[in-house]
Amino acid sequence: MILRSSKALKHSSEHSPVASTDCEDIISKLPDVLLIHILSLLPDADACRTSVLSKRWKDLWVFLPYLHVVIPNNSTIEQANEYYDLVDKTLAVRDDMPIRRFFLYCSSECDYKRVHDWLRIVVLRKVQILELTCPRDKHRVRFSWDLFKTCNSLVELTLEGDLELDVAKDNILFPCLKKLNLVSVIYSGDESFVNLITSCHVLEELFLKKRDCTDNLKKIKVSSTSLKRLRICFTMDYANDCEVVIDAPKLEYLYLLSNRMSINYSLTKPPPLVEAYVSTSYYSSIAELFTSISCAKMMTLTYWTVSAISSMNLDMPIFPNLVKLIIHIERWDFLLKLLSNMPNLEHITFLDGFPDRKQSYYCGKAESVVLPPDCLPFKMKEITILNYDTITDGELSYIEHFLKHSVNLEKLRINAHNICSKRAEQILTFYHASNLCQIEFMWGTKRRRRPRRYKPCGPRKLD
Amino acid sequence: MSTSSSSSKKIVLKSADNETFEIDEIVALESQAIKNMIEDECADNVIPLGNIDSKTLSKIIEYCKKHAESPKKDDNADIDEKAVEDLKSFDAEFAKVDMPLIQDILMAANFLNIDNLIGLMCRTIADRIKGKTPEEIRKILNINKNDLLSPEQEAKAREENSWAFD
Repeated sequence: MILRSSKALKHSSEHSPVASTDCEDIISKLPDVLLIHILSLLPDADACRTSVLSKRWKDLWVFLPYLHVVIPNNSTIEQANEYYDLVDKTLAVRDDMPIRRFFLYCSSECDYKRVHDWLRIVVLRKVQILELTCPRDKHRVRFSWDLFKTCNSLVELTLEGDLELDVAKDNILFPCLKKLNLVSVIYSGDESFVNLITSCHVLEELFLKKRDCTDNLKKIKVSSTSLKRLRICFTMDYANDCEVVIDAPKLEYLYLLSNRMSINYSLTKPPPLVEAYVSTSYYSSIAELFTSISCAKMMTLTYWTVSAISSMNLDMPIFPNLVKLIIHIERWDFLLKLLSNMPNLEHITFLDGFPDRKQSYYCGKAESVVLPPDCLPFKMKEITILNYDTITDGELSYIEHFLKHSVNLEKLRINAHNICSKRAEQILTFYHASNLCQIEFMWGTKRRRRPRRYKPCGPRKLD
Repeated sequence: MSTSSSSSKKIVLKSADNETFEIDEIVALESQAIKNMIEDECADNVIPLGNIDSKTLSKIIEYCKKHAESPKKDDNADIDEKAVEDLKSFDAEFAKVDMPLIQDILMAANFLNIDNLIGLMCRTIADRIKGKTPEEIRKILNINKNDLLSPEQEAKAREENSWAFD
């Protein structure tokens, strides 16, 4: 089967065009299943690009466990028909082979009757992941629920663009759907969204990206007894006030993004949250939101959120379980107040430097604080400072403060665009209470960023 | 494995270039094809493998030995993680060979029906061609130049999957 004799030739004659016929093309002799197996291990685009390798590889993509259908835009009727026929043919050739993932990107002058036929076939072929994108133009496409009502293979669904969702109350939809992504789609009304979510009985993950008010969604009610992960994003051009009510007793992860918008979030009951990301501007009941999510172990608070809380001087709840905090903070006094509500905090990451970094009058005043918050002497293990600029004098005093009070600190990581070596030296000479503490500096542009580590050197005497 | 060593029956494999390899039956059983032959009692003392050369065969035996020695996943739910890690690093080392040998091993593993080895070789090939241009892949896999597409065929193939070429 394999001609051993030509093996020696293969290396020596690699660059000789004459010997090409003697070269062993072993790979192309492998059965289709193996070649398809190899292709299925590649990223989709890589695998489909192998169609130009040679005649042997040309049609293998047809048998991959997924199918990407991208209907060409601005094509002639003949070109469009040719493409539709290709998809028909591909589906026919595959016969009853399962289609695990199906990606369909419609164009503005799409023949939705044929698209519907494909979806029908794909459902029969036990599709598990489906992504359907309709362009945003004058036509609105109604999503055909009937195809999916009893589809017991679909696990993940993404709908994007000008798809109109009209869901009646008594529907039971997608009996196996675990993950749903709704990206800028349109709803016939608030009820449709509520009905959709409550009809998916095993849904665990929901991503909702809301478009402007043209989507007919005013009050968003996420009501699900199975939901574990929820992400809600509002686009920047969205101006109207909107209300979000979350009733998800099993929620473990919550992500809210609505910068510069006044969105009124509320949770009917505090869920057993593990992680929360909150980036929202002020609204009247923002303090209640934090009470509802105060059991989280990890939390990210962005510039917008922190501004909203600190400018109104809100009373924050105690976060008894919080071990990891990522925060963009502007005011030192607010930080200390917040930290005193986080008694078990072990890791803190400062986005874009320390508070008051540009206000040098605060310099040296860090020490004037009466008592450091409990988490510093008892719990704090890791402090990371991400800084797009340089370390200022103001920041130095806070670094000094943290090093002085964090008895259990294992690592201080300073990741700045630029740190002069004098400053770095200065930080190293600060007294640090922990004899385990490792200080790591990273600077330069992303590409050239290189860490410099300094071994723990034991507590130093305070001058 | 120690329990079965009492009955350590031997199997002899003969390569295309007439080299013989004597191995424990348990090692040979990693190959579903040989297992079937033994079960159907159509395996003589010597099993000739006319399409596998000695270099490839010795690599395959090395692989089967290691995998036969390792505790099987379904034997025991809580096999120690160290054994799993050990096997992983063995596989990673094993795959560090040149492409012609990888292809030979894959071809032979397919013939002998050794599932894990087929998987390992396919993963290795996929890793080496990932992110490469068609021209680079042709070179890596040594694809026959007589089998290339005509310019029209290539243009059509690109059109059919134009999304992947953007």
